[in-house]
Order: sequence, then C-alpha cells, then structure tokens
Amino acid sequence: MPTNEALIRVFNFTIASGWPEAGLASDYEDSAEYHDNLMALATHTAGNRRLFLDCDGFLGMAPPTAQTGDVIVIFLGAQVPFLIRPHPTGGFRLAGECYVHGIMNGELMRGFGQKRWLCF
Amino acid sequence: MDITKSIELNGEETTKDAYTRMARALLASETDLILLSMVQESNLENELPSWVPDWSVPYRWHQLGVPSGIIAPLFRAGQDKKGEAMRPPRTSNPNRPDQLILRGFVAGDIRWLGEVFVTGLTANYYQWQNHPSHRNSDSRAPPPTLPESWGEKDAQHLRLNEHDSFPKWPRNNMAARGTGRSYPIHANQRSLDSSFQLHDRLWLA
Repeated sequence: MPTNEALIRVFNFTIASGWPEAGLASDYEDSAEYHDNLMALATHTAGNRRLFLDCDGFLGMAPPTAQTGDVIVIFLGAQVPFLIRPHPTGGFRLAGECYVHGIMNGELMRGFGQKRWLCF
Repeated sequence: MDITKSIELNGEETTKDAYTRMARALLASETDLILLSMVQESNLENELPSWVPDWSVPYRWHQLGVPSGIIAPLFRAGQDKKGEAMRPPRTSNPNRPDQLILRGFVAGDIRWLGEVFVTGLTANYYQWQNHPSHRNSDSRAPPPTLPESWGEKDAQHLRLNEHDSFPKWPRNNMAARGTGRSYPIHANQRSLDSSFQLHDRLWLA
C-alpha cells in the first residue's frame, strides 16, 4: 500500500474506520479476541458504506452514494476528508465524508507552513 | 458561542431556507466543519443545497467527524501537526445563500468502488456472541490453520506488474500473476511529502 503498511493492517483499519488505533490494542493483533472486536466494530462502522481505492492506491471507506470520479478534498481545519462531485452547472456537490487510510492524521498538511503548497 | 439567536425559527420561512440558515450559523460557530460530516441522505434531495444536512432523516451510516466539545475527535486530516484546528477561511456570496465557499486540498479521486456493506448485525452482535449456542467454547470449531507458504503465495496475487496503472485489481493482477517483474506498490505512487494544489474557492451548492 502507498503508506508502506501491510495490506491486512490497512484493510482492518479501513473497515473499522480507524477505530483499532483507539479501541483495540495492537499487541494482540493475531488473537481471536482482536478479530471478534474488529468484527463488532466493523459491523457498526462499515454498515451501509463501501470500500474504495483512489487514484494513488489509497484505500478508504465512502458513503453508499459515492461514485467513481468523486473528488477527495481536505478542507482546511476539517477533521475528515470529504467527497465532492463536480456539477455540470459549475462548482461541486458535497457527497459526504470519507475515511482514507494514511491521510487521516494531517499527513497531507505537513508542508503547509513551509510554503510548499501551491495557491491560486 | 451563542447561536440560539441565529437558529431561531421563523414561521414564514420554507424548510429549505430554515435548514440552510441554521447550517450556515452552525458552520460559523465551529472550526472543524463537523456540520458537513452530518450530511447523509435527504428527503429534500433537489431542494436543499448538498452541504446542508436534512435533519428530518435518521442517520444510516457511521459518522467519522465528531463534535470536539463532546467527544475527543479521532481524526485531524485538515489540521496541522500540533492538532490545532485552523479556522478555515470562508467567504460567502450574499447573492447566493445556497453556496458555500471553502478552502481545501484536492487529494485525489475515486477510481474503484466496492459493494455496499449490508449489515444488520450492529444491534444484535453482542446478543449473538453471548447466545447459549456460542457460549460453550468447546462447541466452537477451532480456526482453520493455513499452511505456512500460504501467505507468500497469496501475496503474489496482489503485486502489480510494472506497466500496470493502479488500480487494476484484483482481476488484472490475477491474470498478470507470474509475468513480469513486481515492484513495491508505493514506489510509483504519490508520496505523502509531495505537494498538492490548494484551492482557495471550492464552492459547494
């Protein structure tokens, strides 16, 4: 995966939308208890949502209404990335929030203070 | 912040106008755009601006962003390293109250979508787990053991051919299995340190 992690780990985090980090200790990742807890979390967090891959191979969870071509955008100050859909009459329609594994902790904001971002 | 004044209902407004005005007032009172996280399905699909939650419809899926005054947020995708919420610059067009203009980075777009997970287990999982038929651990079958080589063989399916564009997965990669040279997936992909375009005026309607 682009984040250099094992696929199974990325998948576990994604279907539970990041909760293993907070709710499940990683020192028992192979135990039956871990998988039971993961299942319990995933049935809650993944319910009525769908997996997606973005143009760079990042794995994420999107609302059921997502479509291919929806744009992943990180609004300044926001907790989570959002999906926006270009509209024929201009502008975008908000298609909901999404989980993208690997960019949820401000990784893309790293260079923001260093003027490496293009502004226009 | 006292927002009760600005979300007071006015009997002459339409539902659309009232929802939009309330959404705008709530957005102005927070720094982390939690209101946008509350947008799910809508009964007023063609009437409400897409960024306004329809409060009359119950949630159908898990909400990622949480009000930080109540629960500690899990994520800070658009916040800086220290986790400080940066007040997002917003402008509005007085002639178009249904438009919301935000600043943000475009991180990519969706190329491949899976099926919708249909789960009815959420409420009943713990009941199921504690059901008498599952409580006796002797009656539960041991987890299947996999041969040690399984992991390596399976990983072959997931490697991309050098000339494959991502994502062609899994069908094309299965076909390409055993042909060509495999390379680490991250090598040719976006680095987390590369720069992205900051759009000053992404407007939502």
